[in-house]
Amino acid sequence: MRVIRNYLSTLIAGWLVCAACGCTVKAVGDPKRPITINANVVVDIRGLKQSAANIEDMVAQER
Amino acid sequence: MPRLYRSMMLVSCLAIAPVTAHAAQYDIKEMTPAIQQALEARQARYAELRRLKSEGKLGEDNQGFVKALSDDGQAQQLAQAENNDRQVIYQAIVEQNRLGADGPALVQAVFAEVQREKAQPGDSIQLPSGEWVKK
Repeated sequence: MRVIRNYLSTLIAGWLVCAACGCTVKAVGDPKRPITINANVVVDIRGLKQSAANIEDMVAQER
Repeated sequence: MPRLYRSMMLVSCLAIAPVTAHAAQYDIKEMTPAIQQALEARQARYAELRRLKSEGKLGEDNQGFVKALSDDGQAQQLAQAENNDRQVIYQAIVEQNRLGADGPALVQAVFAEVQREKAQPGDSIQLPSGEWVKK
C-alpha cells in the first residue's frame, strides 16, 4: 500500500512537472507572439564621410 | 635624446591612429563583382559626367544622386546609369557595415555632402534645404 502510494505520488508529481514545463515552453515559444528587437546603431559620421570621400576620389581617379 | 625620441614617436602614433581608424572604418569590406562593376562604370563615366555638369545639364541633389536639369536625353540616360551604380555602392556600405534601418538615408546624406564639397565652381548642387544653387 505504501509502495503504491509512493508510486502514485511520484507519477502525479511527474505529470505536474510536465504540465508546468509544457506551459512554460508554450509561453516562451509561442509562434504567434512576435519578437521585436530595437537596436540603436551609433555611426561615426566623420569616419563615414572619410570613406565616402575615398570612394569618390577613386571614382575621379584622384587616388 | 632617446627618451625624447620615444615620446615624440608615441605622440605621433597617437595622433595618426584615430585618422587611420576613421579612414578604414566604413569602407567597402567585400568587393563583390557587382560592386566592382559599379565602381568601374562610374570611373568610365566620370569624364562625361563632369562635362555635363559643367554645361549645367546635370546637378548633384541632396540625396547623393545626380539629377538631369534639362530635357537632354543623354543627360537623363547618364544620370539614371550613374544613380543605379551609386545605389549599389551605397547599399553595399550599409549592409557591410551594418548601419541599421537609418543607414541608407545616412549614407546618402553623407555622400551628398561630399559631392557638394567636391563640386567645382559653376556646378549645380542642391542644398540640404532643397534649394538648388550654383557653387
